[in-house]
Amino acid sequence: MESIIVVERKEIPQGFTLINGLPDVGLVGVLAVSHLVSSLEMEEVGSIESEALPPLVVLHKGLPKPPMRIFFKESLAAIVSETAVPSDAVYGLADAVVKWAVSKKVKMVISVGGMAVQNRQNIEKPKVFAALTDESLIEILGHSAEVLQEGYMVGPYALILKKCLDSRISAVTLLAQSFYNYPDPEAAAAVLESLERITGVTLDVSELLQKGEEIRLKAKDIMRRTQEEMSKMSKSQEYEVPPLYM
Amino acid sequence: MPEPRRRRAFDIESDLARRRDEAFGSGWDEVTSSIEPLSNITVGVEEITITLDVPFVDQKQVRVQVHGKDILEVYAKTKRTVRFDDLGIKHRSGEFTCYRALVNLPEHVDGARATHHLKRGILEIRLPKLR
Repeated sequence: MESIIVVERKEIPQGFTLINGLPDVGLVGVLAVSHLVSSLEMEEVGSIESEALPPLVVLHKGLPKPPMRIFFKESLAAIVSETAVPSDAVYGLADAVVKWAVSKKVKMVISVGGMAVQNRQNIEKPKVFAALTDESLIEILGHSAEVLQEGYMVGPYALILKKCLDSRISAVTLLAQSFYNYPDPEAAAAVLESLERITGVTLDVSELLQKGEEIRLKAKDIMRRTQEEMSKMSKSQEYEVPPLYM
Repeated sequence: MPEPRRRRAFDIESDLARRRDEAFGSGWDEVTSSIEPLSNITVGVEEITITLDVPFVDQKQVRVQVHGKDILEVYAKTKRTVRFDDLGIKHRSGEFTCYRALVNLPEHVDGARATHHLKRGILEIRLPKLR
């Protein structure tokens, strides 16, 4: 397995809340956390590097950037990826992120994503669900998300949640009802409202809704590549029901 | 053993579109000023349902045709010309005015009974199967 390392280009103080926005169902995490980063004007402080990731850089304002970057402001850090996570890199990525979170004495890890529903186009306001490492987090969630009681999770967020549990880090995965393979800015807006409740940060999500069509077109290519990787990791298993009730 | 299906013009065009997509990523066709939308296909007991993500499209600007029994062609004109520059894409210039998709269907359908509707920018096409 290729090694994956977290590179801090600027000093990041310990004890922050870490928010993950990785490409997944409906690109909800990427759209939501990108919006968070730009709204809060978070500073780019590091990146995640590996030969397991595609050999590419992203150009922003003429400068080459790693596709998976870390942003920071006050007590919040955010990881956002502008490239699909290869299915082969999922274990290594989850391991690297959680080990880094442990080393930084992170208060809580919040992963943001989507949960595919077949009738999405008939849903006015996507509901948000949450998977938690411990029940004490239910109070923090309030009515902003419904706790997932049974089911499968597949992909990087599933492993991050489990590794956080193993490492005794509080972790929440917020999943908004979304399209499976179409970028879903409305779902991103819905999940950000739950994130506001947990972090106390206030965000204006109107841009996500007003520029929804444009955002969907811009995100088309990364959505297509993400879909290919989701297929490789049997993401559709999330639709299935676990056989054991224990 | 079933006879292999002869490659038809649509198959070839579809292959070409796929190769273009593999080569350039976006499914954009400069000649026709069209772009291939993201799509999804679900095969049910009675019908095949296809959805396509078509932002900037009006329901009245959608044309759906079934060729033969197993080729679906979708054309959807955008409300305005979309320039890559408008989307913040600076490294290539170009524009498109419509979405275009050719889909090889996995089973035969009754094209005359095809229905479609657009909601939240998602075009849903329902194709009853031929019995």
